[in-house]
Amino acid sequence: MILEVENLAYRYHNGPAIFQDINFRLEQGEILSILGTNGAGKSTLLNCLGNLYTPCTGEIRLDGTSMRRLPLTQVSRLVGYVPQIHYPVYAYSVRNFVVMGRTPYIGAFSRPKKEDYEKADQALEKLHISHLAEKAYTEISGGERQQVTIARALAQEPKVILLDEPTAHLDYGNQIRTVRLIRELADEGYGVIMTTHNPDHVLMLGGKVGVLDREGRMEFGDAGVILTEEKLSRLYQVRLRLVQVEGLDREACVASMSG
Amino acid sequence: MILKDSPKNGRAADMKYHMILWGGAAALAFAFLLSLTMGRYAVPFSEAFQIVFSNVFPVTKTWSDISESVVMDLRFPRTVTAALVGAALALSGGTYQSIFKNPMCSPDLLGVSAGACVGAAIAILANGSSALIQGCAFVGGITAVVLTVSIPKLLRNDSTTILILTGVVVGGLMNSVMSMLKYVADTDTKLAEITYWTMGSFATVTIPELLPVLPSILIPMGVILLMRYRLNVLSLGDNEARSLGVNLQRTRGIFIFCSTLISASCVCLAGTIGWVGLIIPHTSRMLVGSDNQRMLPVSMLFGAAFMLVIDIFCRTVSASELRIGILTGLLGTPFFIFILYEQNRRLR
Repeated sequence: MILEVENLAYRYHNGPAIFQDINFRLEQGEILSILGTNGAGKSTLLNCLGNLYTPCTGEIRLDGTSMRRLPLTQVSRLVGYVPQIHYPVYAYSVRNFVVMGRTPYIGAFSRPKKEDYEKADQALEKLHISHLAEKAYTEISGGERQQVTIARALAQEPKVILLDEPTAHLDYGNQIRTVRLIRELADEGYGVIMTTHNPDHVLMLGGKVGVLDREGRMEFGDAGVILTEEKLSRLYQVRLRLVQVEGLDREACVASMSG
Repeated sequence: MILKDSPKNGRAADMKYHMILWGGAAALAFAFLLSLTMGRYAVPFSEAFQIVFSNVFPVTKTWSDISESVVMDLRFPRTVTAALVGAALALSGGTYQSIFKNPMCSPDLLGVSAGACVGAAIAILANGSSALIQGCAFVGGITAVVLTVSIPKLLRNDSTTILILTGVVVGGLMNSVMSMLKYVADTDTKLAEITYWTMGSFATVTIPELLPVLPSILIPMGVILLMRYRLNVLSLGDNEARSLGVNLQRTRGIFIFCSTLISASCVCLAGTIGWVGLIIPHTSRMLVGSDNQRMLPVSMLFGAAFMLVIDIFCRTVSASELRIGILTGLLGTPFFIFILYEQNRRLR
């Protein structure tokens, strides 16, 4: 499975371009982290990739076929989407919520079958949250809800999983656990695309990075090559250092308190 | 209808669901028979049972002609209609609540019933046939619901309250149009007809009146029930549903079409009956959970039984019959306040 993006651009009703000239290519098992300042259009880009918005120009290809030409159900069998926050109105049980990930495989006049519930249970098990299955989705914590939504995306059995700021609204421990989970998902062969405000998470994950600048252009490449002190300082307009942390065997992004 | 669950699904929840489902069915059967026996002319329970039975199986006649006539010609159509309208309103209310992601929706609160009355009144003024009246009632209902849903969109405000407010406003508008139509109607002929039509009552329904409306209730009911799993997905929100591969416009369109057709047809049969479409789905949700696979069938059973009980009350409580709407209104308003309170508590 390969996701290819060519000359993608998006603008709201004759407004200025939110982003333009986006080009990249993602193979199976690769992670792409999209960095950018507030309002840089990260979520809009992710929404285009998730088939929620239709880009003005350019093309998104899944295994060589243009997304525009694929039926909705087909796209949703290939691309799973984990939104940032979801405010539920009705108190579905976690299990019933996760099984909705099977919708692309269930006909309009049909309902989830035993196999679908089994897939949902497997997804819950994979995230070690089987104990939540019977809880109401409205009554679990934000971190748990995040995991449940990821489980739903797994039940969808997609090739690519999109996550919109998966670490926002989480406490520090849950942030790190989410980053580790993303690593695991990629190792299992999912293509993962996520937006984030934390360059440190990108350093932890490695893989590919896309940096959206204020003009809405994206620089794409290997995280190790693209993420330099100079570039990050310029992007966020703060002085920062990338330092090798002894004992953890990784680089960390540390900002200065002045300048 | 019965979920085939893997062992891990909540066994207790399953058992509770089946108990409530069968309990609802038993309550409906009981209310149905009770409705055949209760009224000015008393027919014993067993006799009513035998009379209905004799229409299907050969049973030796041990009852009077009057009993048979009262049960079969008067009470049977009335009972069937009341049960049907109760189930239909509960189902369409539950459907609106899911597609608009709003537990405070119902055919009356969205202005659908008032819109249907306006449509029907116009058809009556134009000397339309009963088929035309029914068609116009549907068009009126659709117009109302589209108006109600569009206003919050224009305001870019998708809060629960704004939809209810616009529903009230559209309902108010429809009622004004209605008053205007009544004002211009011929006092001797049309006005009475319009008034009589919009008041509606189970008391006057006959089988020949019921039959032509039946398909426009039963068919959309069947469609909604078959597609009810999609309601779960739609109730998550537009983006969620789309990313799960659901064609939003088409699916939501089908649901709005079906539930509006059901509501308008109910108005054709029995006039505006408020609150049932709100109270029943809400209660069912509290009992069996939000999953529409379970909630809607339970709602229909409860709706039918509830409507029968209300109807029995209305015809036995005083010498002259009480209007159905009076009693549902008396029960509905405190319940509405209760839901508001619950919502408020959950948001806090």
